[in-house]
Order: sequence, then C-alpha cells, then structure tokens
Amino acid sequence: MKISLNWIKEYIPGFQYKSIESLTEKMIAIGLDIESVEDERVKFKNIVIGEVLEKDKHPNADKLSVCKVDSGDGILNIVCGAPNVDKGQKVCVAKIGAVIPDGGFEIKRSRIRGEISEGMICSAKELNLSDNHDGIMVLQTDAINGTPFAEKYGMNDVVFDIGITPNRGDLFSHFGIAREIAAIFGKKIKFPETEFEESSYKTDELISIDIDNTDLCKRFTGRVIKDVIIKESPEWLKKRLIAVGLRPRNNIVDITNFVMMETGQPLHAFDYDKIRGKKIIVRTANEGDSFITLDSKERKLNSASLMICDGEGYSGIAGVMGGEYSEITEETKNVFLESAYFDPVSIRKNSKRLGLQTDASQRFERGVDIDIVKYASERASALISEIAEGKISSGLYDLYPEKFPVSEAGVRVSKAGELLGITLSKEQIIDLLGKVEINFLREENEIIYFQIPEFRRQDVFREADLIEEIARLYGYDNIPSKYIFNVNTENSSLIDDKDHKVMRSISEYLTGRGFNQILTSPMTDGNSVRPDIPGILPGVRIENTVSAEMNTLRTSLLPGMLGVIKSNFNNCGKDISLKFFETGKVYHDAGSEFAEETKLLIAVSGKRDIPAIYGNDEEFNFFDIKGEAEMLLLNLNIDRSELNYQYNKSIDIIRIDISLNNNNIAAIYKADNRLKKEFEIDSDVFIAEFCLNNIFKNSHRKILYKEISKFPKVKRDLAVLINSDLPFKEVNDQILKSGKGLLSRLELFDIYSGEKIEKGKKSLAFSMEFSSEEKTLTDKEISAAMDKVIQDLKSKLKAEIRSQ
Amino acid sequence: MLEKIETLKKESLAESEKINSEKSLEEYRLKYLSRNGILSGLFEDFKNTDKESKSATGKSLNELKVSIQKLYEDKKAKLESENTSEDDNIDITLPGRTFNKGTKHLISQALEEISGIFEKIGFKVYEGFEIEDEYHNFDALNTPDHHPSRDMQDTFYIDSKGKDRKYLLRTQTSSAQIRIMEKIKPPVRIISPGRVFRNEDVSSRSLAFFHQVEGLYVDRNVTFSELKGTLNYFAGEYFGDSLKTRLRPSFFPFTEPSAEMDVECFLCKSKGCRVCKYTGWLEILGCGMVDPNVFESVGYDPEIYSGYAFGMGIERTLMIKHGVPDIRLFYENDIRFLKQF
Repeated sequence: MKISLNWIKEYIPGFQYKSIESLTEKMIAIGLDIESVEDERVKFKNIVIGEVLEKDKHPNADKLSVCKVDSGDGILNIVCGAPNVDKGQKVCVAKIGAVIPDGGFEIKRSRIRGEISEGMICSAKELNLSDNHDGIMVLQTDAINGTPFAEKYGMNDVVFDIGITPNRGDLFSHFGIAREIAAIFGKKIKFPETEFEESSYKTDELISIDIDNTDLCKRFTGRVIKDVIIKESPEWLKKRLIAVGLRPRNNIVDITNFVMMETGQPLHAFDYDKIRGKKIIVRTANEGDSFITLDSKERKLNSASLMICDGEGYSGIAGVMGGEYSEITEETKNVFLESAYFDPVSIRKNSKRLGLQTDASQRFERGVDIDIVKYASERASALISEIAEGKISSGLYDLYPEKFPVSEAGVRVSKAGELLGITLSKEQIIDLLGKVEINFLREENEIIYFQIPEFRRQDVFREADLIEEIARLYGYDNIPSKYIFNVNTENSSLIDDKDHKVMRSISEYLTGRGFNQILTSPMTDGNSVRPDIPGILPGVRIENTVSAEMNTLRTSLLPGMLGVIKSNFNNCGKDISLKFFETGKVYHDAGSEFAEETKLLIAVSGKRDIPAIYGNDEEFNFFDIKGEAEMLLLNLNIDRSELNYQYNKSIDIIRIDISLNNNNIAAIYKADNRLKKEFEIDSDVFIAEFCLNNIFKNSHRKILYKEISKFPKVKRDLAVLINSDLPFKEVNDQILKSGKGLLSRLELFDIYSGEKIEKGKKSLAFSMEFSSEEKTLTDKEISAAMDKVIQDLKSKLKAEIRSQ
Repeated sequence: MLEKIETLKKESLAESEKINSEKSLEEYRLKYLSRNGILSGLFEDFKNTDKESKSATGKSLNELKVSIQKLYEDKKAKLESENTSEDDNIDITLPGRTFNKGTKHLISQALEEISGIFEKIGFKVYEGFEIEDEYHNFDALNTPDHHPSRDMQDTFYIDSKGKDRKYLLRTQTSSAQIRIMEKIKPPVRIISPGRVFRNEDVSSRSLAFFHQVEGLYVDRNVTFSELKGTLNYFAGEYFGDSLKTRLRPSFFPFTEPSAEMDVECFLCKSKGCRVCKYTGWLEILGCGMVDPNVFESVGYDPEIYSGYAFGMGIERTLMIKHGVPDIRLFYENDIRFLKQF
C-alpha cells in the first residue's frame, strides 16, 4: 500500500526525523515491509517554473514552435509541440537532466528537425498530475523564474510503498502506519476531529436498515446527506489520493476513498434517490441471481453472497463492490453513506468466488476495526458537509446487535524471555507493549494481562502473539546472536539420511565420470506420459493449470532427457559429445494414493568424449552405456552376483533389464527409432535408467572381510570355437559353472571370426586364473579342472577347442 | 700371451664402440665374458704360463678383464638409458587424454552446499513429499482455509478423484516440518532441500516450480537468539564472513515471531544497485519461532518445547550470486551453461 509521509505527519504532532534514510531504516526494523520509497523532491528534480519569452514557428515543422524560455539560470531554446504555448506564459520547464515522471525518460540536449532544444515544457500528464494531455500546463503564478516546481506546488511528499502481510489488516491505512511510526519515536498520535452540523432531517425518517444475517454483518451504520454538490475535489484532497495511487473522480467518491485510506474503513456512498423503498436490508443473495456492479460487469451470485439490498432488489455486494444502478453520478443530489463491519471469511469467500478483489474486500477480509466504523462515517460526513456542502441527517443509524467483547491476552515474563533468549522485566514488557496501545490490565498468577486494541483483534490474542510484539518492539537487532550450540543427538538416528547420501555419491561419481547433471521440468504434457517401463502406473494430473504443456507430472525422466539432447544437438551441432544424467522424482497415481519415486537416468550420445588426436571419430555405442551402468552399480555396492539380466534384442530393440530379487534395478537401452523420430534426434542415444528406491534397499549392505589367498595363481588361456549366433554370455557362464571351485577369474580377451576359421563360427579367447585358498595347486589339479571345462563346453555347447 | 692381451684390449675396445643394440651387447658379452668366451679361454691358458711371466701376465689379464667388464657395463647402462628414454622424443605439450568435464547442476550444488553447512552443526537431511495434501501444506502449518495467508502462495491442485483427501503440489518445503514431527518426538533437527511449486506465470524471474531448503530445530529451550546465531553462521559460511546480515520482523503463518533475513548486497557492497533495488540489502530467507498451533497439530506440547524454522529459495539467490539473468537458463540445460559451473 502506498503511504504518504505528509499525510502521516498530520497525525503525529511534533514528529521529526533525521533523514528519509534513517526513517526508512527504523520503519523496516519495526516490521514495515518497505518495497520502495519515492521522494517527490527527487522525482521533480530539474523541473522549474519558467516563462516563455518568445515564440517562433519552427522553420521545418508546421506543428512545432521554437521558444525562448527563461528558466531562472539562463534562457533556454526549447522546441515545443503544444498548440497552446504562447509568449508571456508561466510554464513548467523540465531542464536537461530532468526525468519526466510519466514514462521516466531523461531530458537531454537534442536537435528536433534541425533546431536545438534544451528542455521541455510539460503537460499535466507528463508530470503525472492528471490525464490532461491537451497541451502544456499554463501556470497562474507570479513565482520567480527558476523556482523549483515541487517547492512552489508543495510537491515535497515522500511516498512509501509498503507490503502488507495478511496478519496486519490494521496497516492498510494511514492511521495504522502512523501508529507504528509513533511507536518508533515514542510519540502520541492524534486523529482529526469530526465536527459537523446536523440538519433537521432525521436519519431514521429517511431510511430504515435491517440486517438479516447478523453472523455475516456485525455492524452496519448509515446516514443520509442531502443536497450535495457533485464537483471536482479540492486540490489538497486530489493530491492525497494521487499520492497513494488513486485517481480522483468526484468529491463524494474521493471523500469515501480518502477516509478509507485514512482509517482503513471502507465506505460506500449510494445515490440515495436510487434506493428503492428507502430501505436497506443486508442479506444473502438467492442462488443463481445476477447483479451488475459499478464496473458495468454482470456478476453471478450464490446463496452465500452477502448483499446490500433495497426495497426492490440488490444494491451492492457487501464489502466488495457497489452496484452500477445506485452509484454516485454527476446528477446525484442526495447520498446514503454506508460504513459497516462484515465477517472476514464471508467477504473472502465471496471475493474469491467472484474473482473480484477490491480495496474494500482486501481490508474486510483481514478484519477491520469495528470501533472505527462510526468514526469513519462521521469523518466522511464532516468532509462531505464541508466540501460538497451537503446537509447531514441527524443521528447515525447504527446497527450493532452484539457488541464485541473487550479483547485481552496474557503473557508470562519468564516465557517471553526464554523464547527470545533475553532477560526481560515486567516493567519493560508493559512499556514496550504500551507503545502500540497494548495496555496493561492486571497481573494474575505470574501472567500479565493486556487489553488488545480493537484494531489488533485479528492478530494479537495469544501469548505467542504478545511475545512477537515484544520482540519487534525490543528490536530484533538488540537480541544477541547465540553462536554456541548444545547439540542434543538423542533422536538423530531416527532420521534416516542414508538414501540421501547415496544420491550425493551418485552425482559425485557420475560427474567424475564426465557426466553433466541436468534438471528438467517435472511438469509435462499429458502425451509424454507413456509406458517406457512396462507396468507403469497412470500419471498425476494437475487440475488448475492454464497450460496444457504442463498439466501432468512426469512419469519418466526420459522425455526430459531426450528434449535436452535434442536442443543441445541443435544448439551446438552434431559433432559434440553428450553425457548427461538426471536424478529426480517421477510421479504416479497408485490407486488410493499418489506415489513419488526417485529415478536416475544417464545417457550418452554423439562423439566419444576424447580429444581428436586420440581418435574421437567414433561415436558412443551400446557398450559405453552398458559399461557405465555396470560400473555405477558396482560403485553403489550392489552385489553383482545377485543381479539378474534379461536380454532383449530384436529389430530396433536393444535392451537389458537388470533386476535384483525381482525388483527392477536398471534398464539399459538404445533409444528406438520411434523416439529418435519424435524428438528429431539423428544420432544414436544410449540410455540407462535406474530405480533408485530399489537400489537404496540393496546398497546399504554390510560387507565382511574375506581372506586374501596366500597361494599362487596359475594362468591358462583357452580359445573356443562356437557357432557365431551363440552369445558370449552362455560360454562365459558355462566356463564359470564348470570351473567352479578352482577357477578364480575369467576374462574374454579376443573375439575372432574370419578367414582362419570355418564360416558361421567364431572364436572366443579367454584368459583363466586358477587358485585355491587352501593350498598351492598342482599341475594335475589344474589340468583336471581345465579338462572338465573343455569337456562341458564340447558336450553342452558343441564347442571346439582351438587352443589351450 | 702379453701380445695377445694387448691385441684383445684394442679389439675389445673397438668392438665395444660398435655396440648399438641389446643384441650386439649380448653378442659382445658372449664373445668375451661368458663361460665359453675369450676371457675364460685366456684364464685357462694362463694356468699354463711359466712362472717368471706369471705375475706380469696375470696383472695384464686382470686389467683386461676389468676393462672389458667396464666397457660392457658402460655400454649396457648407456643402452638401457637410451631405451627408457625413447620418451626423450615425445612432445609433452600435446593434449592429455582428457574426457568430458562432468558438472553437477548449479542448483544441486547449492542444495548440497547449504545442506552441508547445516549438517556440520548437527542437522540431518530429511526430504518430504512433493505431492502433499492440504493438511500438511496448509492446515497443520496454521494456514486455515479462507484465511488471507493462503493467498501468499498460488497453489496447483491435483485431480484427486478416488482419493480420500485433496492433494496438491506443495508450495513450500515447510510441509516437511510436519511430516518429520509426526514421525518422531523432539529433539528434531532437520534440513530439508527440495522442489516446490507455485501457480505463477513463467517469466525471466519465475517459473511454476523452484527449489527451497527448509530447516527445523525443536527441543527444550530453543531460543530466537539461537535462531539468529544459526542463521548468521550460515550466512557467514555461504556468503562470506565479511557481509552483514539483518533480521526484519515479518509474517509467516507457521512462525511467531517471524522474520526475514537480509544479507548485505554482495554485488554493490551495499552501496545500492539495480539488483538490490538500491537498498543495499538482499532478502535471502524467512524464519521464526515455530508457532504453538503448529506444535499442537503434531502433538508436541508448546509448554515443554520450543523451536525455530527457516526456509530459503535457491534460484533467485543463485541468479544474483552467479549473475544468471534468466531463471529459465537453469532448466534449459544447455551444455554451454552447465559446463560453466
């Protein structure tokens, strides 16, 4: 909310401050969230009162004039486009260096169609003073040329833009902010008197008021003001409204707005002659009815919408917006002034449902001061009587069926000190709270009770709330910083962060392997939810997103990864080497609840990532990703011997699924042509996907020391000739099985197929290592083991032995 | 014999000059020094020399042996050194056998760094859920329905057909506070990094999701003063010790008192710049003492326990820290962006 400092000053007699900077700092320290500070003296810098001495036609442009303007400290040559500029006028001159308030451009020495221009003669709009852009502003003044414009016209205000937190509805007004500033400086505040003469018309003879829903409308006051003269507001009033960002309309509307900005109490002025039946009823609407608000929009009502009604129908939406029919116009003669208290929750629901947030609804939904309802009405009446020359009906129609009880709260001195970590005395607390009108009532059983002012009812009602007030008035800066901590580790072991640590080590490991971590959007379009892993559950849909591109949570990290690979190929060309990984959640609808699962995806694509000189002409292939995946599993402490591999190889499918105890651990695959086409990627993409939840379960296993063999190892080589369609794995597994016991290591070191061997055959050469943990093996024992391997290969795989 | 020795002396020297490979070295050894070599033959012959010349001949013969051995050893050493320093010819300015520079995403780095700072003082990492119910994201955090504080965040709601409650995407990591307090009794000390969602328009400053780190500490006698010390410790570790901090009173439904912490603008050294909006300060986190209503919703007795909580957004601080002009760069994953960090 915009707050004018000049306005505030009126309520704090004797208020003085060192500088705007120091004042701002103090306001921030007490909790006012100052978003910006605008100083008019700075805003109107280099804008002065000047006089047009000469006016000539521009030689090169019909609509422009070239003027000689006395700016006080020199005669300026200024090109002006306004039709009304003339010799002898007093005008407002923006000199070089001035920043025009409307649009924020800086005035510089320039040439306009060949003529030098050293400034600008301003219109009211350019100075943000009104919408008038018909021509330059001609001033009726005898001020000396060169007088700063801001000084002459009292433009010396400072406007703070203050963010109002939901708990502090009371700060939505100049009264509220004045109270805070008074508290900072230890001053007393003084609000304006509301004196006016009542006329002979009696309010209750002119109108009757009823509240049907007293739970939703706790107080309603009304008054009739007759024979008002609708006109433009006086300068001082317009200036106040402009300062806080409101556009002046007419005196009546301006006064209601002014009083709202002053007191925080929203008011509504009706055209009294449009109140049918001369009666007001506050009640909820009939379901399905509609109503035209003063912004000329039709609003659908429901049975919870609280309305201000007259004898025939709706006249306004309570606390939100008035109606078009009964609004104040230039023809209005008589005014009905409403000042009321509506239930915060009801206003909030209604305003939300209607999608209509107004200055009034914002204040009502935070809870206004029920005690100020009457003051605000009287303040407005006094101003209307003064400014619009209206005759105020006598007696305020004030329906306040159930008076709010006095609000009080208690605090223990010990508790406040303990929570804040400072030592406080009872007197100190009473003194601090007194600054914000929270006044001491009594002490009972070590608890000191305070009366909470009505304007803080919504916010301060518990001990914790009082402690917060004490803290901010004591000053957060004055509370010491405690740097020595006693770490109580009692429940530490109940918080399990092992999985998180595994996650960290995964990213450490993969970045060490040369992978770049990516983070992609968890919100995708519904189409990218697909079964990339068999048995996938449905996706999770977001109800209220405007964008169809992000209406579903991802079920796989794959589309995000392929999107990143595509864009990087597009941005950097096809010669790059891409190695990416992402760890992140995927989301499923698991029936009775939603499930989040942490996944890891790694991918390689493009050229191998080695310097050209060492041969980077090769592209990544399936064995790169298979190796990376297997290495990662080893590093994650997964027991390799427990893993179950499922191979799937057919046209366009290259895929291995790895599981452990029937849980999916990983899938390693090549992106198929359908995916490559969809994502417009030419290069092959190799992917490994990991179900981290299942990996976590198995990676925390405990490892026991196994004795290292003291006996020598014996090496043997073996070349096996087999049918070329027989997979390596079958041979490997067979050798391991047959050699079990003494065979301690087996490694493939060559694959050959070609001229030297029979067609349709291939040769696999293995290096084998035999050892025992108990003794040194004899030649005889090793030969026996080799023979068994060879016999089994021959009989079970129809292998031939090429050499051994 | 002596003549022969003289001749051999010359010959062995000349021949040794010709040694240029291991093979010729070995031939040399076989010829002169082996069991059947020339020297052995001479020593055999020496046994038969007459007594008068024996001493002179023996001396010469020994000298010959020593000299040939030395020639052999020298040549051997020379050859070995020549062999190993085939490397003498390599150009060590050639590129190393490097591979791709792996990088953690800047956001992950920050999440880990911040968590790590708190782990050092006894906090443990605990992650909550991103799909939450209204209760854990709002009600239990003292943010009742139809209270204006709900408007502080625009929420994405999830189509919860068939579920027993209304689900949403959490708007704040604070829901993790409730989750852990429901699980264990005090003392609780957690740091909770994670993703949160807000129904906001996408721009260079905001996306529909971002990351936060939340902290919570509940025990007997936890004070606001301790909160201040903890956060000052954090700011010193994360932003550097020389920067001042300040706490401003603020409002969050789940803390009372509440505060926002600012750190001196490290770009302009608090002189005032566009980034800090000429205030000299940057807002980095929200914090406060846990509201008694929050304790009640998790069954903690606010008369026995007190605690503090804090939460900070990651992306905007990173943008300032690293001069990243547009938040979307974090999620475009351009390799030229990723590799910079």
